[in-house]
Amino acid sequence: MMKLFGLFIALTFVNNVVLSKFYAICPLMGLSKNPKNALNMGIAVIFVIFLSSIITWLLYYYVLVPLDITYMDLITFILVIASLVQFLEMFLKKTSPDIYKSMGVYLPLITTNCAVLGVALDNITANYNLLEAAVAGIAVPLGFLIVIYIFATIRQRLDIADVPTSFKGAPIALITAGIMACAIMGIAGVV
Amino acid sequence: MLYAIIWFVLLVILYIGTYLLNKHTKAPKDCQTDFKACQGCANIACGHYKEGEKK
Repeated sequence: MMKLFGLFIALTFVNNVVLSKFYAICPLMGLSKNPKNALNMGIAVIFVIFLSSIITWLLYYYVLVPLDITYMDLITFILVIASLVQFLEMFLKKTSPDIYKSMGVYLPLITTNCAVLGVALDNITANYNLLEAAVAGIAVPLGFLIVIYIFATIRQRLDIADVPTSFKGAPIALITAGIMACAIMGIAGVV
Repeated sequence: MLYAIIWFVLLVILYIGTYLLNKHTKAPKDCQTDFKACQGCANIACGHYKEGEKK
């Protein structure tokens, strides 16, 4: 139990998917202009990564390994994640119109979010069991949500701050992301 | 090798099937896509991309 808790803390904060591994930079830069959008995107990512972590783990160990086609892991995970996103969007349209209204537009973006594929591949590389893969499937997107939300609130303030003209927009955002990454390095090795 | 080809074909069929099912599933009646959220997005494969461009 403590091992799972340590894994959760490590993947959420210490080995944060955005600031430590530099995955998901695209949605970080593209959807962090508004905290509300960032929050909705983060919640949608939690759904997708959690489900894809479990499904890809099961497919790898119960289909690819028995058939000795583990080299197909990358293409399998890509197609499964893309199909999962389509299915999830369809499911939300039918069953939860309110949830679809709030975050439906972000779901197609998640297909191209490399953090989803990254988590699926990392679960296999790290030889996690199913429970550890599920914990990773919650911890990693939670870390992503925290970072993207904080980043969005900082960018809101940067928009009204006295930033030199040549640094406005993407340059100051990238500098901010770099400073946040340096800050997270301070707790590397804690867990 | 044969297993790999069969598996790949199954995955492609799965993706095409879910894509078509999703495309034919109507969005909720009073659902209005917030295209402000799409600003800065260059994902041309997104179903909302063309609608966002028109807006």
